[in-house]
Amino acid sequence: MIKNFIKTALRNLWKTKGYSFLNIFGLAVGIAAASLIFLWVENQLSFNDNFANKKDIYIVKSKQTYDGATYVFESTPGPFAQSVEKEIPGIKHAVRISWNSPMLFSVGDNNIFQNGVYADGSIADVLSLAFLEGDRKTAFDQVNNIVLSETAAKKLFGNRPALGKTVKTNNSEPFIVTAVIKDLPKNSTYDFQWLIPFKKFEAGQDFLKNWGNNSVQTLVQVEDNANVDQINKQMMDFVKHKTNGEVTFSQNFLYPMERWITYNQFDNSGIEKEGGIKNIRLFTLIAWVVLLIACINFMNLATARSEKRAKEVGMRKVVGASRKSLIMQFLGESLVLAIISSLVAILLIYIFIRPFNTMIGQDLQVNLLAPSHLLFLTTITLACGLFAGSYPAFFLSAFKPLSTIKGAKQKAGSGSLVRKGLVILQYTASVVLIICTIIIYQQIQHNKNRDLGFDKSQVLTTALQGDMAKHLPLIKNQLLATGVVQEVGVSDMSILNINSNTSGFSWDGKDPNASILIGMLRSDEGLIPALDLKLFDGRNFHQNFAGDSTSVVINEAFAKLIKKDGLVAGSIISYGEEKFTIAGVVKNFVYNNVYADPEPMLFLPMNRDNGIMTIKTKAGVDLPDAIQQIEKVIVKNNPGFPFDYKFLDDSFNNKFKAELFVQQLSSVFALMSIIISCLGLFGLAAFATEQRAKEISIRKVLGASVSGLIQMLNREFVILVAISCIIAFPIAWMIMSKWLTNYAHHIDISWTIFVISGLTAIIIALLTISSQAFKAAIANPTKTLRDQ
Amino acid sequence: MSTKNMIKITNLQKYYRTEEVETVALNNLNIHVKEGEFVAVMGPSGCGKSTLLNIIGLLDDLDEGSYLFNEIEVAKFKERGRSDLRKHNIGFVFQSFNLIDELTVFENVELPLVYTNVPAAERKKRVEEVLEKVQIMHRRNHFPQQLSGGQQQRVAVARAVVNNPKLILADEPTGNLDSNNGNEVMQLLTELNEAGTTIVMVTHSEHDAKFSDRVIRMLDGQVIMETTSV
Repeated sequence: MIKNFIKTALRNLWKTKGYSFLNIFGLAVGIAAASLIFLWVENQLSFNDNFANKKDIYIVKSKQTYDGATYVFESTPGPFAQSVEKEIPGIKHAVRISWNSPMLFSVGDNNIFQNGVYADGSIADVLSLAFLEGDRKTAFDQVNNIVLSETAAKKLFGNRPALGKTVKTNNSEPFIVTAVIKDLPKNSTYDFQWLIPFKKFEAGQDFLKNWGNNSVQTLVQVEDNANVDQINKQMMDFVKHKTNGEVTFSQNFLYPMERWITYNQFDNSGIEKEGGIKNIRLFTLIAWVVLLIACINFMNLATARSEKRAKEVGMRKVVGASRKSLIMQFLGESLVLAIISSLVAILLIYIFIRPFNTMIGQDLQVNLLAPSHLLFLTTITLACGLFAGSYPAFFLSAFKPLSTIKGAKQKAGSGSLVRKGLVILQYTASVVLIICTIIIYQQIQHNKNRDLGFDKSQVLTTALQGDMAKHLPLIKNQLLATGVVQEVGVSDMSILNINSNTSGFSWDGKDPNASILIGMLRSDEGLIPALDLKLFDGRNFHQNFAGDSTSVVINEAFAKLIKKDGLVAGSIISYGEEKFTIAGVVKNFVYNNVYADPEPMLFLPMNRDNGIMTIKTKAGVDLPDAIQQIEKVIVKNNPGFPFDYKFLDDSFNNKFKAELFVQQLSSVFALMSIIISCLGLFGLAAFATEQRAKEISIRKVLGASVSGLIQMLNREFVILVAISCIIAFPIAWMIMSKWLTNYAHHIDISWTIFVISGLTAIIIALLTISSQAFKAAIANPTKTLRDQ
Repeated sequence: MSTKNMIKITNLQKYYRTEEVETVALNNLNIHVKEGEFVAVMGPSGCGKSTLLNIIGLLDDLDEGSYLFNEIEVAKFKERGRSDLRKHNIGFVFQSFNLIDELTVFENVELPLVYTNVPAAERKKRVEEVLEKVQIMHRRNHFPQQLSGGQQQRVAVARAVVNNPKLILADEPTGNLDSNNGNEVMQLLTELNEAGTTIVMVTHSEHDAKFSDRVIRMLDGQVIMETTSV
């Protein structure tokens, strides 16, 4: 019997090639879309799975409350790690890790920048790093040891062994390569290319002995079956106890690696909230929606064409088929179609996985031999086949043999209504996706284009490193002399990511019990004009003013904390015993969180040799030429360091990575769902015009015009799409209203978005079905009537 | 021919109802068909002969009356019961052949055996026997669209008899055939009847009716005359 069913299925598919193609391709696109999402979800959920001790690894977080708001940071004091490892039972290792930073490596003429960290040697055990060369027990013994990643070693030494070789860092200090480790996979939180013993970093750095200075990360591995709640209890006020109550602003706790990707966000009460899991759920839902649309296509096309199978169903029943065997037959047919669609889907996945990886910045791989991938594909195929085939199977198997043999048309009633309902469902989902994509795009543009308070156009940044700080005035003059540079400023970190802050400032009138977090950026007098920050009160730093070594410039948000009108130039603020004069106040500008209102911050005089140089080029200059000239000056004054730069607006756009990711993926899937829906609509329109061929011919004979006939044929489908829009609008509005509440600065949802989406859906539908309507309208009526 | 009734219909009423109209298709019908008999049912279009055939073949149900098939009351049988009875006991031959276009000649004839769970080897043997009998074996791998009308009807007859049914119901079996092909089909039916199969045939053709043992004439849903063939 099964052989009979398969033969019938394949022959039916071949007989109606056009409809079969629509069905197979539609389902294949749905399965391919769902599979790509599955690969991404698998990638996200398997983040850090390469670390064998994952379930026992934690990062130490610090909860700090300022001005009623609780912040959660990932930084701890320098002495923290070693103390907790000794004193808190259950902690196997506590590793100090510096922040990921670039370093210049030189081997002969080979100079490359690589990112890495300073870390305690136990990092090798905690992260179970795989050593390709060297000994994990001794690799971190000496301060001038360095461990390189496989990639870094290859870049520096080619295929030769790196062990025992010397590399120069930042053109000054030599390090001995004591080990080479296997590259960490892309779906891993850590991507360091080098590791240097932490004791090298801490040498001469007094702040690392300070319990009140949170400046390093602490990574912890607990013992097997350790009581983490107990550890957290002891850790909570550990710093307070170690400082005899002096340092109380920070409460520490362990945060598991297992939740770093899926959660790891905290609201302003310090309560954990969803992180990446939101997107995982969102895109899983979208995958199911796209699959549903594809399955609905199948159902609609199969039932619409049921007339063609009616006689067969009737005869099978006459010769003895039970309804059950007919249901099995049609389910079998849809499974055959689902299997063929899956094979086409696999081809589509292989074709599109590369551009998909480029879009999402990951390295997803399809492996049909991997049990999880095989299981997923099999499950999806079965689910689609059975679900999509269920309604047609029950619908077709219900045909009465007598009426089919007589050739009577099956009742249009309920079957036709269900089909219309399914088309409405398809288009509703598609229109919701379109509206959501437009709104996400608008929200991103709104925040990208809002007034940031500074001018990021024509601005490039380059690392302040090597000898640049020594020759800074000379470099600045030479840059200005090129004629392409307008302003040059330096700072210890990027204006977009001010990661240093303190609650230690006070001023006249401040509530002594209030704890207010103030961002801190060290800069010279050139930064404010280079970014075109607007002064609200007072003046900028001035290099010729000796007194400016104790001057600060603050932002408007800080100024209004001191005095309501913010006019505080000349006022004094203090940090412990140190006093600072407010030289000027700049208008608020956006930094760190691009969606929130600016928080209070201040500019302190630059006192570092390393940081960022910000170069504002003149309007109208040829940028490639300008960059060349800038490079010449920098390299001349800082030989041995390759020149690297970024545009500030590119760096700014990177802040929208997460939202861009959501927008790009939702655009892709909105497009796919529209394509699938259109395939279905095309098939139904073709079928409908086929069914009405006689009616169309008679109308033509009686005088109907081509345009009138096209309108008549299109009307039914346009009404369905219009109904879909009416249902989709409130759904999309509800979803996006909720999403937009995540952002302090967000757009208002305009009615024009709905109009545009609705019109787009209708126009696409019209374009899809008009070709069929046109074909039917211009057909020769006599031929049709004769054939009838 | 046996004296036992294979079919006994008593006081049969059949109505067709729409929202506004009720039509009496069969009115207080009483007929019987003995085992091994060849009965022709004749009458003008719309007299109810095909309706009667469909009721006999359990493709349609009766509104009132009794239907004994081999002394079993089948009037109240549900679809499952009817389907079971039909597939084991009744073969059908239709005017428009009603072969399944996606299946070959062999597969069309095999179909009833598939639904009665006959093993594959046995199916092959029986199908080949029957195809030989109707002289269409040489076309066993062809599809219906590739056959002439007469050949298609021979295949339909083969399908009807492959399960060795006790009863064959033929609804104008020669209606779409020329006289030569028609005669061939009638000859086949006669041979089957001589071998013991009961046949009830609806026909407009007096010529075809002559092949039967008895002719039942109907008008307006009622039997108006029964004649025995000479």
